[in-house]
Amino acid sequence: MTLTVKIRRSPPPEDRQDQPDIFQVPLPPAAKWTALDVLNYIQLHLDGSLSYYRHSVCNRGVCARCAATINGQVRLLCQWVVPPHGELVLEPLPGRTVVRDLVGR
Amino acid sequence: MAQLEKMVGRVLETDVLVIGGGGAGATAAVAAARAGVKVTMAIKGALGRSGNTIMSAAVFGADGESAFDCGERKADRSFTRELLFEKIVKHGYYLSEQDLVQQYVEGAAPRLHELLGWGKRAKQRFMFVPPGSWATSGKAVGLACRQGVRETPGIEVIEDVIICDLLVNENKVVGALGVDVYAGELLAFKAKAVVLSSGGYQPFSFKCTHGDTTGDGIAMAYRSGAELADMEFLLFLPGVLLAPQMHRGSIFPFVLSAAGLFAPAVVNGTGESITDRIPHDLMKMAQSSEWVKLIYTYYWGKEIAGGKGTPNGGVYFDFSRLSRARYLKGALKTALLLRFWYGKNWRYQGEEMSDLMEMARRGVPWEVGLSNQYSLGGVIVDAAMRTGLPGLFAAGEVTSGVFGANRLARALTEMLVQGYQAGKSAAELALQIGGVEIDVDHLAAIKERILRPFSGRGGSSPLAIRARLEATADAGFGFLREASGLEATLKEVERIRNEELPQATLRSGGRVYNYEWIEAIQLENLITCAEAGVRSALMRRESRGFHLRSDYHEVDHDIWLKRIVVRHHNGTMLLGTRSPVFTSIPPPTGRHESVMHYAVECERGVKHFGVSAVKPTSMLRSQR
Repeated sequence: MTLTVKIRRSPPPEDRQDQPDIFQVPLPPAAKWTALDVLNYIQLHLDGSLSYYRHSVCNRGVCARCAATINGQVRLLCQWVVPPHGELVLEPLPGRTVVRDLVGR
Repeated sequence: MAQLEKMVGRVLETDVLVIGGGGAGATAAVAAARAGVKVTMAIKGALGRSGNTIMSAAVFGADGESAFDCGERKADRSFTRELLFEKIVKHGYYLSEQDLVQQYVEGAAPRLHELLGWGKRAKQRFMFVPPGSWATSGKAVGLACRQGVRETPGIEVIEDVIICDLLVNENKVVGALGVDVYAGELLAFKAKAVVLSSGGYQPFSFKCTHGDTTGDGIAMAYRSGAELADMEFLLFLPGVLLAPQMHRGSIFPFVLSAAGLFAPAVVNGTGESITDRIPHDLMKMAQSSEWVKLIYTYYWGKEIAGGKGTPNGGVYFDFSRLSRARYLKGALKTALLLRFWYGKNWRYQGEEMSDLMEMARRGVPWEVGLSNQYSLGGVIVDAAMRTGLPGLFAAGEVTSGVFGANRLARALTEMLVQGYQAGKSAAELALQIGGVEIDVDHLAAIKERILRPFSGRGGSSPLAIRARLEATADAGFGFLREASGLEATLKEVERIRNEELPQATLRSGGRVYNYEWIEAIQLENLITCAEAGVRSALMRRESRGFHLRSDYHEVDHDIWLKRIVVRHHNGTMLLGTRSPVFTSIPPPTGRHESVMHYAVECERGVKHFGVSAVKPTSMLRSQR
C-alpha cells in the first residue's frame, strides 16, 4: 500500500515554483500510521531537508504544537491517522508566517 | 562586549537563567523572581507544554500529614511524613541521599498547596485520592505551572530555544549559549546564576516520554565539570502500547490496569500466562502499589528477554476470557474517569481510544511493552540544589539523589520542591555578586562545535545516527542486562561517538528551522548520557532497583551500597563511587537473593497505603 504525500515547499525550489513535492510512502499493512509518522518516515528515508514541527513534541496530543493543515482541515499531525492509500495534502497552519515548509510562526 | 555581540545573534543579560519549561523550571523561576532578581526562562518548547511534566499520568502528592496541611480534610494523617521518608529510602534500595529525601518530605506541603491554587485559577481539575495524593492530567499540571509563572512579575520567558552548552569562565558558570529554533540565530545568555531544570534522558526507541528528554542538561553539566550519579537506573513502565503505530507509546493500558478498572490476563507471545508465574505476595504488591512497575518489569522482562515476547517485543493484555458483564463494568468506570479529566468518554491525554475499547470488547488483545518513563540518574546536587560547579544549580529529573535505584513516590513533588529551592538558592547567589563576564574563547569553541554539522561531508544524517544509538541501547542496556550485551553496546556507543557523530551531515543547509541540526545538538547529549549509563551499568556487578542483571541476581549491600559517580576529565569519562548520606536510617548489610526478594522483605510488616482504586461515585461528586 502506498500513500501519495503532497507538500508545497517553502521557500520553493527555483526550478518548480508552483509544484508541490510529491513523496510515495509505503505503508505497512494495517499499521495505522499518523501524519507525523509519515513525515518522520519521509525525513529519515526520503528527504532529510523537509521541515515540520518536530522539536519539543509529545506525540500524544497533549502539547498541541504539531498542528498543520491536513487535506484542507486543521488537525494535529500526531493524532491524524492516514488512510492506507490515496492522497495526503499537507500545508502549514493558515494565518501564520511560514518559516520553512510546514513550519509557521 | 562588542566582540561578543559579533559572535552571536543576540546577547541577553539576566540575573538568574532557568533552563527548561516544565514544573521544576516554573517553580525555580517563581522562587527566584520572588527574591527580587531578574529571571529569564529559556525553554526548548513552550512554557507549561514541554518536558515530561505534561506526560505524567498524573498523580502527585506526598504523605497524609502534608495533604492535611494543604487543607485536605480527607487526608489520612496516619501516613506520616516520617513514614513517607522511610518508604522513599527503602524503595530506592538505600541509595537515596537522605538529606534530599528529608527536603522532599518537609518541603512538599507548601509547594503542593501552591500548585493546587495555580491549577484552580488555570481552571484545571484535581481529585483527592487518600492517603495524600491528587489525581489529574499531566496537561493540567503543566498549565498550573504556567499559571504560576504568569502570575509572578519579573519573569521573562523565551520559548523555542535549545540551550547547547553552559558558558564557563574561570570555573564559574556565567550563562549559556543557545539556538533560537525558528530563526536559527545564536543566543548568548549572560547570567549570575543558572538553574538546570531540563529533564532527564531516555536513550531507547520505546518510551512514553516527551521528545525533549535527550539529557541536554545532564550532558551540559558533565561537559562543564559537574558530577553525575546513578546513570544506570532508568525506570520502566509496564503496559505501554506497542501497536498499533498511532498509539505506540501511550500509557493508557497501564493507567487502566493500575487504577483497577480492568484486570486483563497478561500472556506472553506464545499465549502462556505470565501472571501465574508471579508469586502471590508480589502479585498483591503489584496490584496495590507503585511496586507494579518494578515487579512487572522483572517478570515480563524475563519472558521478553527469554525470546517469548510478542512480535514487537512485549506481552499481550488478553481479553479473551473477560466476561461481558466485567467488560461493561470496567468500561463504564473508564468512561466516567476519562470524561472527568478530558471531557470525552474515550479520550486519554489527547488521544481517541474508542478503537482500543472496541478491541477489548471483541476480545482482541492489546500488545504492550516495557517503556522507558523516567531517569533516576543525573547531576549530583546538595540540599541547596547546588551542583559542584559554582553558579550552577539543578532541580527535577535532571538531578539524582532523592529516589536512588527505584522510585515509587512522586516525581512531580520532587520537581516542585527542588525547583523552588534551586530558584531561591540561585537568587541568593545572584544578589551577592556584582556581575559576570563571558569568556569569548570558550564561547567560540562551543560555537564551532555546534556549527560543525553544517560542514559535515558524506556522513549520516543525525536522525539516522539517533536511530542507531537507540537500537544499541535497546539491545544491551534495556530492562534486563548482562556483561556481554553491555560491552557490545558500549563499543557501539563509542563508535557512534568517535566515528559517526563527528561526520554527521545535514541534508540541507540553512539555520532556519533546521531540525536535523537541532537533532545533532540533542544527539551529542544523548550519546554522553547513554555512555555514562552503560559504563555505570557495567561497573555495578549486582542487581538493585531498576538495574537488573541476569548475570548478577543478588542485591549486595556489602559491596554495592554506593552510588556510581561519573565525571569528565581531559576528554575521558571517569567513574568512581560515593556513599549516600545516611541521616536517620542506617545502611543495611548483607545480601538479598534478588531485587524481588528485597521488595518482599521491604514491605513485610509495613503499614500499606496503596492508592485506592478510583471510585466513579467520588468522581461524580467532585465533578459537581
